[in-house]
Order: sequence, then structure tokens, then C-alpha cells
Amino acid sequence: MINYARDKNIVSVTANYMADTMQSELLKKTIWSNVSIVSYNIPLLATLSIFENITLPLQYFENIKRKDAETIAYHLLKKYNLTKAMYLRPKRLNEFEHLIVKYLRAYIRKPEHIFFFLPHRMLITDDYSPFIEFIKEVKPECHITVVENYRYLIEYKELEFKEIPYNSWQTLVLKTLR
Amino acid sequence: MYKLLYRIGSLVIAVGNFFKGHSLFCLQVSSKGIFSRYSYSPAVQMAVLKQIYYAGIELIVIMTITALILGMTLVGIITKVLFALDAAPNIGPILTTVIIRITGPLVSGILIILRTSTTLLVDVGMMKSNREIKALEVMNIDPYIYIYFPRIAASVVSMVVLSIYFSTVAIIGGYTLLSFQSNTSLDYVLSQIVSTIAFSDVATFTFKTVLIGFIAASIPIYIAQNMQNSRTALIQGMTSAMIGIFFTFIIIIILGEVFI
Repeated sequence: MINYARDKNIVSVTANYMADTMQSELLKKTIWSNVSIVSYNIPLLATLSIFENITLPLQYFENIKRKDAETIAYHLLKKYNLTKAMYLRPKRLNEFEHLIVKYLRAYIRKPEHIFFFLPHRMLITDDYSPFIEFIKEVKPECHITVVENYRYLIEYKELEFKEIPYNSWQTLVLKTLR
Repeated sequence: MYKLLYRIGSLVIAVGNFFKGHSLFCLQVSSKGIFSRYSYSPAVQMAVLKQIYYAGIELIVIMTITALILGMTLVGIITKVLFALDAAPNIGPILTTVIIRITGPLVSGILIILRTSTTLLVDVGMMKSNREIKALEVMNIDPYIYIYFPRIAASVVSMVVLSIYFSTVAIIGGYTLLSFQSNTSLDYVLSQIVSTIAFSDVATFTFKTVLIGFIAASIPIYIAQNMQNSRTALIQGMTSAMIGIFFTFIIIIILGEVFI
């Protein structure tokens, strides 16, 4: 069960859920500006271009004009050499590029915590090393939690990640309000 | 007998439930769409413009051709009969009734339903089955504001504008044919039509176009958002949506003529 205590400004995850169940429980209480999710089963919108997908939360919540949103998306995509894909539809991207765009969409409102749910389901095997490099780059920008099957954890040995076993997830506490 | 009564009862309950659910859905979309501050955000404005393009502008060519052909046929036949009966002064009220009150909303409504309703059902149904609506909810973006409201608003705007466009082009098309048959000037025809347009004609036209535009989008979206995630659900949804829209369409056309 996930509990949200407004007075203490915390969300506490108290469960032994399977990853998908944990994700669906977390989604119910997610406050988008502070906790974001990058997941294999939360897709990009097929009818929007890449830059529209990334800046949708900004344009919707913060009334950012389309031109300003384009500039913001351009600078974000430039970092990952994806500026050419700015006006393309998501189906034109490969799996790893999809993951990057999903991350940028999750990151656009500067959350404090980003969850990556089962990244191996979003990647082909060859992409796992670039993904680790990608995580290394994004790690200083916000708190990152990767929810992953145990057999993939060896990939993370280079990273200074704190491993939280399934049965002690009840100790995971996220700050959700600034 | 018992089975027949059981079936009729089930049907009445199903139709009642549908109208109850659809009314609540319309109320939610309208209230959120009008009163939420996010409805006026650049993202929603862009969504409305895109939907107006899909529902309205893409129909312009087919609408122009249909209006010209129907206009030529209707105006041609009506004026020919009126001149033959020596009743030319009645051209205004008859053209107003036939083209502006009846044919304009009817043909525009049929085209909007064929083009927009079917597309919306598949569009929203696919968005639901691909979890795109879930993705919006994850971002705290209300699908009622970002997905449903722009589509319904665009359908209403497109329906009203296309009906006006249809009536205008039909009259021009009719006049083109008329100018070959007799010496009637365009000024004469237009002045006859404009001088006979009454408040009840405008009210009927507005009532029909706004309501048809509204149901052409709201019924398929309501059905799509309640659909199960399967391919057969899409086919069943399409059938229910088309039947629902057809009956509501007929009711609106009748109500428009009977009560206004």
C-alpha cells in the first residue's frame, strides 16, 4: 500500500508488490511535478511529434508558448544528438531513443525523483550498456530509482546505486513536496 | 412472450443506462472544458486547432463538390417549378427552408458523422488500448480536458461553419445553373433569401448544427472510453456508436422542426 501524508510531505511505499503492481499503486499517488515515471508501459503519444511529447506537461501546466517550448525541447534533445528527430513521430525512433524521450518528458518539470520501471523491457540487449552510461549522466540531476529484475542488477555494478531488495521496499520513502 | 418482454426490458434498461452515462460524460466534459484553467493552455488550444483541421478543413473539398451538385439540382428544380407556376416571388422562403433549414444541417451532419465520428471512435479507442490515455493520467493531465474536450469543441465548430459554407455554396451553385436558364440576377435571389430569413430559421439552424456537432463527437468518444481492450470491442463499439448517433441525429432533426 502506498500512503500519502500531506502534513509530513511524504509518500511511503509499504509493500512487497511485483513491479507492475507497485507501479500502478505509485501512479495513483504520483504528483507529477515531484515524482516522475519512465516505464515500458507508459508510451509516448503517437499523434504528437517528439518535441510536443516532451513539452506537453510544460505547455499544459505552465502555459509555455509553442515557440518557447520548441527552444526548450531543442536544447534538451541536442544533449543526446536527437535534434533531427524533433518533429518526427515516436514510431520513427528506436527503443533507446524512445527511452531517452520518455526520460526527457519525465524530466521536463524538474521532478525530485524519477523512477525507471523495468528498463530491460524498453531496450534491446545491445542497448543496455549505453543505458548505464545514460543513467550515469542523468544521476546528478535528480534522484533516480531503477526498478529492475535481479538478473539485470549486475549491469549496475559500476554505479553507486543502493540496492533495495524486494522484501524491504517498505523502507523506501519518497519526498514529494518541495 | 416472457422472452420477448425480457428482451424489451433489457433493451430499455441498456438504452437508459447509455443515456444516463452519456449525459454524465457530456456534463463532465463541458464543465471541465469551460471552467478548468488548463482548457485555455497552449497545449489544449493547439489540440483544438488540430482537431478543427481534421474535422473541418479536410472536409472542405468533398463539401464543396457535394454543395455545388446538390445546390444545382435543388435550386434548379425548385426555381424551374416556381417559374412554371408563376410563383417566382416565393423563391426566398422556399430556398431558405429547403437549403438553410433542412439540407445544410442534414448533409453537413451526415458528412461529419461519416468522417469525424468514425475517426474519433478509432482514434480514442486506439489511444485507450495503447495506454496513451494512461500516460496522460500519469502526467496528471486530465484526458477530459486534453483529449475529449478539444475533439467535441472542434466537431461543434466544424459542423456550424461547414453548414454555413454548404448553404452558401449550394445557393451559388444553384444560381450558376439558374443564370443559364433565366435572366434572374444573383442579387435578386440573395435579396429574396435574406429578406425571408426569420429568427426561427436561425434558431433551428443553430439548434441543429450545434447539437449534431456535439453528438457526432461525444457519442463515439463516450463509447470508446468505455471499451474493453480488444479488437472485437472496436467493431462492437463502432456498431453501437453508429446506431446511437443515427437515432439521436433523427431526433434532433425532428425536434428542430417541431419545436422551433
